[in-house]
Amino acid sequence: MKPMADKKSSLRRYVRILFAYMRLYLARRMAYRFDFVLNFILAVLFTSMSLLFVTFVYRNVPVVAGWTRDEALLIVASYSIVNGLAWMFCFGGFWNFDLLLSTGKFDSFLVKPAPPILLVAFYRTTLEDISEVLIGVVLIARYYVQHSELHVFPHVFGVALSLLYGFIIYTSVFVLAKCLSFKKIQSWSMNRLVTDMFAIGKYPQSIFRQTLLRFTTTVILPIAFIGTVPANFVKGEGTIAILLLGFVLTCIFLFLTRFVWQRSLRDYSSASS
Amino acid sequence: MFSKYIHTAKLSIQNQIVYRFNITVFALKEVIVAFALIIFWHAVYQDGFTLGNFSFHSLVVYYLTVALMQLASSEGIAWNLIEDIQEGNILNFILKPLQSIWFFLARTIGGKIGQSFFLWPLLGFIFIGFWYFHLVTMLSIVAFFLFFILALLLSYFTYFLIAIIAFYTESSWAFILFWHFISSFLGGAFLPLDAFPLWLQHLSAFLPFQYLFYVPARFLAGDFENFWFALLIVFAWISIFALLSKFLWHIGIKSYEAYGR
Repeated sequence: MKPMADKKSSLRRYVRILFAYMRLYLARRMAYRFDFVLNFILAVLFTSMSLLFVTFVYRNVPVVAGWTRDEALLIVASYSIVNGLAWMFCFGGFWNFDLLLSTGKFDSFLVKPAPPILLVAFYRTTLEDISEVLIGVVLIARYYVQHSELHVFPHVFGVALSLLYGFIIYTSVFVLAKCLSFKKIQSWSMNRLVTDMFAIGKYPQSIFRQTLLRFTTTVILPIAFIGTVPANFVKGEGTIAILLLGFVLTCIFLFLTRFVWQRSLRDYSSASS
Repeated sequence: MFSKYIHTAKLSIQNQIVYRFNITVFALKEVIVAFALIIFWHAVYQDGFTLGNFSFHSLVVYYLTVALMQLASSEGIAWNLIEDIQEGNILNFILKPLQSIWFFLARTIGGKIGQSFFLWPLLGFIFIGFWYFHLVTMLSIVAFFLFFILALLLSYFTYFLIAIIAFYTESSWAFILFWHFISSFLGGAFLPLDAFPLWLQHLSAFLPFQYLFYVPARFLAGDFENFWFALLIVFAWISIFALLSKFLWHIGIKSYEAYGR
């Protein structure tokens, strides 16, 4: 067991590594500014599609599973924040993880003095995806402006915590799926499977009327934590119980991912390098 | 004359069969996306609301058809071609007695046949289900397959054209994603066009997007309104993209320098 001081200094080092990677990525991207701007526009476009979906649906129906248009936009906002952060701090690096393995480039991550899982996650911090996060934040701010009777500060803690849980769960499931790359040569389709499954989080969880489906989307594959749960906290309808459940699930997914990753690393033989 | 292209298609089929895992996961992904949208609309219909003239059953048919139409997407060829152009691999190909546009088309068709080997049981199950519940007719199935092939050609020539941009800029990947987002949304992959504002529905009739998802799905459901108009527009777009692709490919090859090869 590491003493607390050691843990703190490790954490500081990881944050420094993250910032170093961010600086490097930004320097690299600034060499191709047009690419950077294009990526930024694409991230905006991606979020706009979700907003248009909501707008067009609510042109035809006044309410979906108990959610009004403005409330449904909150779910999209929460999803955008979590998805944007996940792309910035994990997916950018892990997206082509199978390629890192098959070309032997992953070996260079193993000899560096930091956990390889963090190095892979951080080595492509796609800062352009901040646009998605910003759109999400603006949408939430807009909701509070429109609903002045709601007080922001009592809810901020619940919103931030539920978004953090959503981020950790989403990235953990993604990394867990990418661990399959240690066994399968071509497993890139898992990228789209996980992201598309979690994209269901853009819809209100109350569309799932059956108990089994609701349980699945809350506990087994907790996609509710990237959309509905944070949106509920913004509305001031979050509960301590759901925060506690989120904490437990986050810990489970985090430890499961760590366990599978460590096992996969143990069996990794670096045949291709 | 065609034997070399048939051989290319056969090789492409074999290549697809090697990576069965990816195809299976992709099929699963499409089913999950369709399932989520169906559940979404189920909740709406349970609350007593409707989407235009759609009954809930016709929405189910719609989203399952959209999932099938994803099989006609030729996005993969654009990624491969961009990589070949940027890494100089295209030089190996230029030396061969092959017409690029037909070579890649053969590769795409072969790839699609290879992919569908694993999807046939699923497709068969879906079509038998539609047939059993009288949701489709023989005529609508024929019309659907005709538009499936046309959508495949439209998608292929569009992505081929987009990939050619790689001759001129390093950023052609962005155009693939841009087209993917726009065509999915305006094509009706997430929402039937009936939910769009009227002006956008009218405009969409002249754009290529809706012929990738919405129109084939409507024809399978037996709604043959504007059939000949749709046929004319989709043929026009295929011809425009094919001619532009051929033209720009020739210009691109002439200016291509393949540094480092």
